[in-house]
Amino acid sequence: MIRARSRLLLKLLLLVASLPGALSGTAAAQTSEKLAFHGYGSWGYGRTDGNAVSIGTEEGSYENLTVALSVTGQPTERLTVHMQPHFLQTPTSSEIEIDYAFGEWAFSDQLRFRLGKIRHSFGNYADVYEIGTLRPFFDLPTSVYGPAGIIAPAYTGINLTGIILPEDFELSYDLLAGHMVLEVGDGLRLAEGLDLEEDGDAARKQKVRNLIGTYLRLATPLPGLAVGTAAFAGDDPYDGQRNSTWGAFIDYGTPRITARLEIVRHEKHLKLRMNAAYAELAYKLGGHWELATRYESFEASSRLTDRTLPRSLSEHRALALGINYWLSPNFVLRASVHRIRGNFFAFPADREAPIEDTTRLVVLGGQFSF
Amino acid sequence: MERSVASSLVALLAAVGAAVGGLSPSAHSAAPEATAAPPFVVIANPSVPDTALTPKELAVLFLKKRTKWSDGSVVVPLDLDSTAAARLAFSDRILDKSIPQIKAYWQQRAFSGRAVPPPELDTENELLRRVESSPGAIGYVSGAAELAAFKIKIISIIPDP
Repeated sequence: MIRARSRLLLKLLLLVASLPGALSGTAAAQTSEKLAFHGYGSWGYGRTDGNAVSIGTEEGSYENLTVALSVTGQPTERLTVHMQPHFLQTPTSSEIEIDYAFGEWAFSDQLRFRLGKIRHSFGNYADVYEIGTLRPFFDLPTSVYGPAGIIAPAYTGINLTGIILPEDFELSYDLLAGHMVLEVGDGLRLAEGLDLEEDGDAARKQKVRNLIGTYLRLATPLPGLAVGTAAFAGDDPYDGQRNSTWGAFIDYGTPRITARLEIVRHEKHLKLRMNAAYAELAYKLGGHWELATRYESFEASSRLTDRTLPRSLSEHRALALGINYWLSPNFVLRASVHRIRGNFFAFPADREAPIEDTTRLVVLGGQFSF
Repeated sequence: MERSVASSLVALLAAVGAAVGGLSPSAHSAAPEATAAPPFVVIANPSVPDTALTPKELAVLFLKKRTKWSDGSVVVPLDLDSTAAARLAFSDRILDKSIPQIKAYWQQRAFSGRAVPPPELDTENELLRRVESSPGAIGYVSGAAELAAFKIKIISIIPDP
């Protein structure tokens, strides 16, 4: 199955690579100037003292590998085609997926139209979800970007985007419509009243239809400081009612310091409300070493009067400390320790085992991009 | 105490002004005491309609936030390799970012499917040849680079308003 999908992806890559020449009729040497290749990868080891969370398991998990290649072709001045397949290996599965594949028509710098499977701009990280060299820890904050069914890194549909440059400011925007697939963990499935055994793995993906949303990011005159907000709404996969998500974020970066803050609220119509937030800070010591810390908080509250979740199953609070060694801006080695309270994202791998409400996690790994 | 803070601020502003003004070849020739070559000179293909740009305008062009010249033609920014001294000085003084910050900026843009970074040329000669042969191209080389053999134009850097 994977081999067949690999062949398909290879064909698609070749198709994208051939587009500039096919559409513009230019010579091969010129075509190569209109193609750009990028890629990223990561491998990590995670071990916990009980529950499975993030990439960690009680036995220690080595099978956490991601490798991807992105191709951008610009066959004409206004048309750009982007595509990024990745290979992902986890302790329970291997998959080859398309992160995004879309075409973009540039009316101007202020107005670009896209269609296809498009990166979902939301908060600090959704549109660079897998890129390990753009964050201070191996994994993204679970509270916001974990399998809570809040955010997906891409959606299928249409998008208007652009950048406006008023005096001393820079405003980026996105307007989107389409459909997206959310990853759902055991915590949310329990909160929604699903049976973990009966509903099986099929329920780990929820399709949100009739999605509409917006994203605004304002870079301020203070160098390195940007603030933003985003919101979207879509149909609940079970009852068709509208669900909504809203978030706000701050991103501040200097050559030495990176500080990010984000808050998100997700409302499942009349059923569930989820509040998530994190704050993270990283400080570079010289050219290679970096220290990082992060605190995150997540809370789910059921709005059904006959369904009250036990406290530990509805929350997630985590404190992390990390140290990174940057071989270059494109390659980083990481070590971090995490203390997690709550079980919304932290469950025993063996569902018959008792659930501990506190989890300690150690992560070692490396990430690269080019 | 206030006077010392004020005089420090004045000195700092003067230093920043001198640093930005000193990037322009014309500013360089206007300062008789400055004999060393400037850390970089901004050059462009003769088709480029502009002859003078502010640091802010240059940053917008090299970060691909603006992709058209004033006559509607396409901007083609070109970078030197990230270890070149002129690249370091240009990133620091014009883009106001370190090389790792620039790398992160382009990673963010590329992987979110928004833009790809400008081509990086290994040598100044390669960059000069590319600027000469590419309509709309703009780049920079060290102040000591020999420019006479190339059909290019020098872009003056004027202070931000």
